[in-house]
This record gives sequence, C-alpha cells and structure tokens, in this order.
Amino acid sequence: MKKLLIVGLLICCISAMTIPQASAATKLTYWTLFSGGDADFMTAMVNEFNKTHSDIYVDEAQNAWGDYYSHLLTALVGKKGPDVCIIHTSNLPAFASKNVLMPLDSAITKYKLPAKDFGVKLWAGSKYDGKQVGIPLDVHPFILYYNKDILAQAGYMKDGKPQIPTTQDEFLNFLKNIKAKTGKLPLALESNGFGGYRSWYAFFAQAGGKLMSANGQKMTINNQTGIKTLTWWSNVLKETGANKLTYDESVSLFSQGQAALLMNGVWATGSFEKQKGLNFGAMPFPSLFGGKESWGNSHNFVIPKPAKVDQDKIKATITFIDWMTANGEKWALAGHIPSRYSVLQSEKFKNLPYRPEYAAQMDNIAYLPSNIHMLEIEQIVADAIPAVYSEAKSPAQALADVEQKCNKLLK
Amino acid sequence: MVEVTSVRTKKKFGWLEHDNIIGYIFLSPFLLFLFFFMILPIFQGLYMSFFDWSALTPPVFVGWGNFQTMFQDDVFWSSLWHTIYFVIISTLPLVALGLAIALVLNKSFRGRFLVRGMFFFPYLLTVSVIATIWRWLLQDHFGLINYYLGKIGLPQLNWLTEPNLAMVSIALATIWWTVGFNVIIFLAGLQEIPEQLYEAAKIDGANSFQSFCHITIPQLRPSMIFVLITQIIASFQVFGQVNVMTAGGPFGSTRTMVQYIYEAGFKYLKMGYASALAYILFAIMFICTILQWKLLTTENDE
Repeated sequence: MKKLLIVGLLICCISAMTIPQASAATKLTYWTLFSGGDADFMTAMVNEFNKTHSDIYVDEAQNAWGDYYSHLLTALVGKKGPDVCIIHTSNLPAFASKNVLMPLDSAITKYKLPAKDFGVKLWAGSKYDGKQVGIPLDVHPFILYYNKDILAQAGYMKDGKPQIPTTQDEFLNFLKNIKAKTGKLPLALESNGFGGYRSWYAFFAQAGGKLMSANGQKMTINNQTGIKTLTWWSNVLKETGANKLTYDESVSLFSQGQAALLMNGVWATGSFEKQKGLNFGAMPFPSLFGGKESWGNSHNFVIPKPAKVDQDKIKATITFIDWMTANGEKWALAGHIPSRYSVLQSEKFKNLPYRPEYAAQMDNIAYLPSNIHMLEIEQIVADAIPAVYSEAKSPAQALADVEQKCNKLLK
Repeated sequence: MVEVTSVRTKKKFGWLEHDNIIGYIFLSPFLLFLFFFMILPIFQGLYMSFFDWSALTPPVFVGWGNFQTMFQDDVFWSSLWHTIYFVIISTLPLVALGLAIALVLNKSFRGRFLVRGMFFFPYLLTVSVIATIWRWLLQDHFGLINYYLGKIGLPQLNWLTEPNLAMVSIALATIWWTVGFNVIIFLAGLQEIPEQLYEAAKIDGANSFQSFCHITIPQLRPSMIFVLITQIIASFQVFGQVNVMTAGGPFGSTRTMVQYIYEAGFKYLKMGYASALAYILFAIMFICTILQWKLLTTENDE
C-alpha cells in the first residue's frame, strides 16, 4: 500500500496544474533578439506602452541574439510562435518564403498604420514577393565615428566639424597625415570579420555595384567595380595597419582613444557616450566613390501566421507597432535610426546627442539583396573579403571564389 | 514463476510489489526523455538526411542528393579538414600532458590536494566563460599574452587573426580547459596500480624509467583507452570554443564540422543537409572509435 501511495504521489507531482486567467486586456507575446543596452531600452518602451494602454498587455520575452533565430524557427515549426516578434531585413526572405509570416497589407490599411511616414527604402526593404511582411522599427547602418581630439590635433577639425575628404586619394593622405601627426592608429574597424565585408560593400554600392543580378540568379561582383573598390580599400587598410582587427579590438582601440576613426554600426553609440574622456562624434559613412551608400540592416516587426486569426489580436498588434515606431526617439537611445519621418523631424529626436548627425544615412542604405539564401551568401562574402586584407587572396581571386560558391546556391 | 502468478491473483495491485516494476517507474522519466530526445531524433536525423527540408515547409525526398551536394561543397571539405586538424593538434597534448601532470600529482608533496584542485578547476567552467577569457587574453593589441611577450622582448603574435595560428590558439584554450579531466582519470588509474609491482621491480633492480615503461604504462592501459576514445570524440565535436573565440574566422579558417552543421541547420534553414553532414561526422567518429578499440584492446581487456 505504501508503494501505491508513492506512485500516486509521483503521478500527482508530474501532472501540472494550469489556472485559467481571466483578463479584459488583449495579451500579446512579443519576442525580441536584443541584448545589453538595446534590451534595456526595448523593455523600458514596452513597459511604458503597457502603462499607457489599459486594453493591451504586451509580454516581452528576450532572447540572446546568437540563438534567437534557431529559437524562433523551433517555435514556428511547432506552431507556437509569438504574436509579434523581430526579424532582420536580411533574414525576412528566408522566413517569408516559407510562408510562416502573415502578409500585413490589409491590416495596415484596416487599422490605419501611416505607411507613408516610414522611410521609403526601409518600407520597401520589408516587402517580400510584393507583400508587406514586416514593419521596420529602425535602420542600423555602418557609419563613421571620429575622435574630435585626435582630428583636432592633426588639424582636421574646423568649427567643431570634422573635415573628411571626398576623394579616394585625399582620403588615404588624410589617414597617413593623422598617423604622422598624432602617432595614433588613423582608422579602426573589424577588418577580420563582418565589418571587413560591410565596409567594402558600402564602397562597392557607392560605385554603383550590385551584389547580384536583378532576378537573383547570379552574383555580379567579379567585375571592374568589384575589383577596383576592393583593391583600393584593401590597400588603404594594409597601409594604415587596420587590416587584421577583430571586433572587440576595433571598438577598444577607439574607445580608449587609440584610433582616430572607427567604422562600425550605429549600435556602438550607446556605449561610446558612456565612455569617460572620449570626445567623439558620428557621421554618415564617407562617400568616396560617387554615391553616399552604406551597408545597413533593419529590425522589423513581423506577425507569425497564427493557427487561427484573431482580429482583436491583429488590431492590438498594429496599435503596438504604431506606438513603438511613433515613439522611435526612445528607441534611438540605443543608437539606431528611427524608421519614421515624423520622429526624425521631431524636436525630441533632434535634441538627442550624436544621433541626428548620422540620421541622414537613412536615405542612402544599401541593403543586401532580398534573397532566400542571403544569410549563407553573406557568410561566404564575409569569409572571403577579409582574406584579401590579410593578403591570403588577391581581390580578383576572392571575388571569383565568392561568385563560384554563391552561384551554386542561386541556380 | 508459479509464485509470481499466485501473488498476482491474490492482490489487486500485486504487480506493484514486483521490485522491477517500481524500478522502471522510477526510471521512466529518464527513459522517456532518452527515447524522445535522444533515440528518436537519432533515427529521425538519418531519415531527414535524405530530404530537402527547411523545417518550415514539407520535406521533399531527394535520395542521395544531400550527400552529392556535400561532396561538391568546398565548405564541407574545409570544415572537415579543420576538424581533423583540431583533433590531431589537441588530442596528443591533452593525453600526453594529462598523463604527465597525473604522474607529478601522484607523488606526495605538501599542498597536493590544492594543486590537484587547481588543475581540475577550469574544467568546471562553461565553454562560453573559458572561450571569452581566452578571446581577451589572446587579443593582438590589448591581450595580456601579447603584452607580456612584448615586455620580455619576444615578437607579438596575431593569435586569433592569423589563419595558421587561430586553430592552435583554440587548441591551447581547450587544453587549459579540459586537461584536468584527463588528469583525474589518469590519477585514478595510477592509484589502482598495486604498490607490490613497483617493489618487486625494485628488488629485481629495475630503475624508475624501466618501471614506468613496464609497469605504469601497461597498467594504465584501460585508462589510456578511455581517455583516448573520449578525447577524440570530444575533439571531433569541437564547437563552443570556436564559436565564441573566432566564430569560424579568420576567413572561415577555423570553421569546424559541428559549427557548419549548426549554421546549415539553424541559420540557413537546411535541416536535411545539416542532418546529412551530421551523419557523415557520426560515421567518421564511429569508424575512428572502432579502429581505436581494435588497435588498443587485447583479449585480456575484456
């Protein structure tokens, strides 16, 4: 009998109890991929939304950036996705092509989300197959950070503005002069990894280059534009000693005042402004090949296709997205450029430190092409380009290599 | 047998009295997890390796297609080579150093327990902790190691950004992290060796080197086999250190098989292809283990 009791107890322990919750508010589960400072700003915004909206409750679940997509994938497979979540523009096609994201066009019209208020390029970047599958929260391009003290010492500050050259030859001389006059590293960036390809991609886009053909069936980088930009840029990096830096190093060098310039995403702004004694500014990516483009990506709100569409939830979600994007100046604290013109033109945003100086980059974003293989192609490019900077491959060799590998995927 | 049936008829819950049943009930949570999260996925993985499957769309049967793609995939071949290279450069030092440290720690000296603990301590840390520590230690400009190399006038190295050196750096971190485990196994093995053997050898006039070769090494055989096999398997599965220290870079020169499997499956949504990759890795590890078993064991080891 005792044993029976034990078994009975065990069964009781295993069975879980669920207490049904009665609540008038529409509850939305919201998954994010932000970490560190970004996560704090996001949580603060969600809390404020909940405080000001008694009829909607948003339950935010934070995920580590590194395993966010595998987590989301697993949930979508099990049809246990959140009501709303974040996906990068570069990753939208991979998910949208699998038919797991809800097209938002009708909901946008029905619940009057002001589509025209969103950055034109950003809005277009969140489309897949002609349908709006995401709503951009921000854009985070590669920009140029500069150390005001070092530039002043080298004689490149005038009326509080940095004097950044606009031609290739001048730019190289400018870097060499900084080195000669101050002894500091003129330029830092993550040349060893993704930053290495992003910086080249910006120049490639400025020179009119496109990563792949319009129909997405062929890579188009092993050409004169590709070779010219990559050869020039790898020479600059080699001559200035910035050709083998890791991400951590590039950021440390700049924040410790050891490097005059840093090419990095806007996300670094938040940590630099906390750095004591660092007198810095930020501006759009240098324009040296005609255009003003820079690499960029966006965070988008998406609605995973639910098992059963609940219009109340959709309405609440659009209200939430509208509020989050309309209060973009709060999200801009994390460094990102808000997605809506009304926010960019607001006094609240214009009074923020640093952010308005580089917000102009928003109109010149070179997104990666919309392609379902983009993540894999990006990795192949990010592996090959830094090899040129380290002289393990010639520019032509690297570009041919990338084309050959990527074309296999695209065909 | 007769008694059991008679008990069953007598009591309503008689089957519960049977010791085995209650044992299985206690085991059942574990067995259920083992079945659903280990055994079933293993076979499902094999099945999926013959499909083109993104996890989100219905799988499409492709026969040997994934394996054909694999053999033409440069990234597969380079990841395989990086993995084998890592197995070679990490296993030998991990076994040799593990044995050497165990031999020293087996001697009696003051503070022996403290020192033993020190060697085992890194093993208790998680991979992300050790990899982060080493990533900062090995930095070109701000790393502690390059700082001291510079102080004593030696050339500073690009530990993690030089493709020929990056994997060595990862092996270095791995050795520091896991050698303690091998030390413990060897220490246990050493303590199993009967003291009389050494005494007898001494009486016969053997010097300490001879005792080492003819007593210690043969007696350590079971520990050696265990360490070698587990070590090679562990090295084949290297992932965490690489992911945190270099993320497969510079330019993919440290991308290992498990990293590529992870990328293919969870980043590129090619679950079928990732399963095929995983099964090739499994086959290689299986063959390696069988070979070692055949080569290292004799009839007596049974």
